[in-house]
Amino acid sequence: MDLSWSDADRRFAEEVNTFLDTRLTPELRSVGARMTSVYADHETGMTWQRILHQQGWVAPAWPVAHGGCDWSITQRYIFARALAEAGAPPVSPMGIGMCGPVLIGHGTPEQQARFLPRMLSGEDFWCQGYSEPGSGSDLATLQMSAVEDGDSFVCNGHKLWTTHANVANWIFCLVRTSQEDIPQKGITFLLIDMTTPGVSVQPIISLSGEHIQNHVFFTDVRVPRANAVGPVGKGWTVAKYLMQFERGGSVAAPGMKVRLQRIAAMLKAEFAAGFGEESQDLRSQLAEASTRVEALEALELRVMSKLSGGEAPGVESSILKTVGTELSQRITEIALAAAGLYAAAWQPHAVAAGGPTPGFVPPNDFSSVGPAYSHTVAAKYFNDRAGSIYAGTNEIQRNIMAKALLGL
Amino acid sequence: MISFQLTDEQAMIRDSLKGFAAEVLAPTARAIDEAGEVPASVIKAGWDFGLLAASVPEAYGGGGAERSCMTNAVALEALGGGCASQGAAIMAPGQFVGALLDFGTEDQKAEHLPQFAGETPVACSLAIQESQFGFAAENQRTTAVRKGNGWILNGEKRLVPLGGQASQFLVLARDPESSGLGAVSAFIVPRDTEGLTVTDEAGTQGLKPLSKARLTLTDLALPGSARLGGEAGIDALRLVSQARVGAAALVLGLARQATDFAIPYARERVAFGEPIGKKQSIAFMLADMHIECETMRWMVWKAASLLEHNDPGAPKAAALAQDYVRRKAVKIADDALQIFGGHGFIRDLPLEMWLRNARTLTVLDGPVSV
Repeated sequence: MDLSWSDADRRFAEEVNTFLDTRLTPELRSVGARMTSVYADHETGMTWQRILHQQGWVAPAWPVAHGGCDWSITQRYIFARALAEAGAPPVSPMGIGMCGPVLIGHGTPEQQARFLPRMLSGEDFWCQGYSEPGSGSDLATLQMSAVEDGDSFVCNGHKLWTTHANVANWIFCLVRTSQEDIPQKGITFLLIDMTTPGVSVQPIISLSGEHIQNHVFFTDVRVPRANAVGPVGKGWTVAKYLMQFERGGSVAAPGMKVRLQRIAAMLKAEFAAGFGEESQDLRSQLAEASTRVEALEALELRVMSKLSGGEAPGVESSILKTVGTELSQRITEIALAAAGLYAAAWQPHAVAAGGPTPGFVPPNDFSSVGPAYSHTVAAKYFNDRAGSIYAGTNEIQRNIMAKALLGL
Repeated sequence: MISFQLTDEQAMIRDSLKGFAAEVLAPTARAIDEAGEVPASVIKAGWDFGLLAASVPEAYGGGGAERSCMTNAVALEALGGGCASQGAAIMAPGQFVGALLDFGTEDQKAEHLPQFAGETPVACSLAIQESQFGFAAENQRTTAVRKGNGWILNGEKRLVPLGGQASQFLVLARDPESSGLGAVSAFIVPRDTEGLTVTDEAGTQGLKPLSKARLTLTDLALPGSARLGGEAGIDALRLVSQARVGAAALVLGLARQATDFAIPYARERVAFGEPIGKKQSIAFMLADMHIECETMRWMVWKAASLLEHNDPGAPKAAALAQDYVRRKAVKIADDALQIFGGHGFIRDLPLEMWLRNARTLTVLDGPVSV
């Protein structure tokens, strides 16, 4: 066992940090530090994407032939960690992180040539059409229909929780092209232009009041047959490939360390101001969370090592998802306790929300309650409740672990 | 013999308020949350149950019923099971009345109690909360200094319930020469007192429809008669304990409501070929939610009963109930949301509103009292 980085890894990390020092502007860092969601707002995310694209670093996992970096798993980990530590706003993952790899793995040369360059540049902005009412974690029961009609599919259905559908111009969907003996059969992976007649989007307002997710309705939407990725009826295989990216190796621990450092700074400021009655309890909570973050980091490094060796992430994806999201939620709870009464305030104007907050009217003078470090705490807490629900609930992940890992 | 039985009257109050909560408060909770204001008609409907009027002695025009922390706890749980925001708005004046009954001089009772025996709702409330980090009611920073026969108050109170409407506030303030709750007095402060600035504090995550205000007290001069209890003052530990148990009872109702809402959904929602309630991960979660609701209720009732009987263990029981309920009620609201998956996260259903309300109630030391 050897946990040290190689000289090449260290040089790469230095190169990344030099880039961040020069290109990650104070404005972008400010947004990154005040984010309430796992997503930056659309404009900020696209600004950062364009900077990365200019550098040629927007798609670390893609082959160079398709405009990516073709970095090793280790390099990708180092890059993601540096971004998190520097507080960079994230690039929306739906295109480059999800649909792109699917097109590279399963798309035709024509599809790759048409979609991948515009995905990198941000000219096309993608969202993911998977979940439906009644088909979330149990995704294979999805019912959105696509009926072949000449050179087209005619699509009808309703997608739910569609992040960024309100700003996306393309959506990749799982649709049902036939009814078979088991639900995983008869599903097709389809790319749909959001401007096609019959597509409509309605907002979903989340617990924190932000508009990030949406309903997407499809009414007799005609989609060229050429937009099917992989064989018709074999979309589940394509989806599983994508889900490995969604649940695969993650780099959550470095960002959590930054968040814990912010809470510690918040407590220090309050203690310095003479308030510290509950300090011991909060210190203990902070210490315990820090220990758990170290454990998570060890787990993430272990998965990175496994992936580097060419192995599939397997059940570790479920472990990472469960531990990572629940620890992240725990950190939001500690921040909430540390912020005390300030956490009661709802003040989207004082933070970098992941999307607009319909119905919210900021104060005339844009004043805010509490010190700046407390502004994001409550919205972050509420937004993070989604962590144990999205990408397969943590109950589902525990089922997977019980079956696949423990043979139960 | 120890008895956990409610009196017939308490059971009747619980049942009638549960009906009111289910038929009036719960169906309108979402719309009222969005509107950010509790309608006067709801306040009036709650007032018409006569809970406050009943507690006012006959000599002041009231019903003369025995002052009962238990009855109030039962009532708050019932209302919290419909809508915590509306329940808090209905019951907040009870803090003022309860304190008058417990600690007021005869003159103060004669001056202030009769208005609560009438048919028109009266808005007034208790101002405990302050904004400093790690606030505890024991560490009041608002000060009260004697000046001649009167008092000078300075400080700031935050998130005072019914702040938008209240005609009078009961403000807690501390003798700056001393510390702890023993040094805390309560002052009756009319809204139009010179030196008092009332600022709306609407932008909160939860309890949005409950009007809340910041009170800024700047060299606010009061006559000696404004000090509740006169020279004897108050038992601030008891007053704060009542507020803690009241808030716990209200959020307990919310937790019970969330649990009851999740159970039928777990029976109906099918995933992977069977109702999710058949899966142990969900069934055990619901069982734990039920266990905690029962446990919370007995802790709240115990504290309320000890307060009612002036038991010296009451403050400790109140603190324990508050701490336990704070932790568990939020966990229950969060678990109910988790059971509903993404549907819990959005505004189509009340789960997200309950979590916001539960979280907000846990950072306030007392929007209501028993």
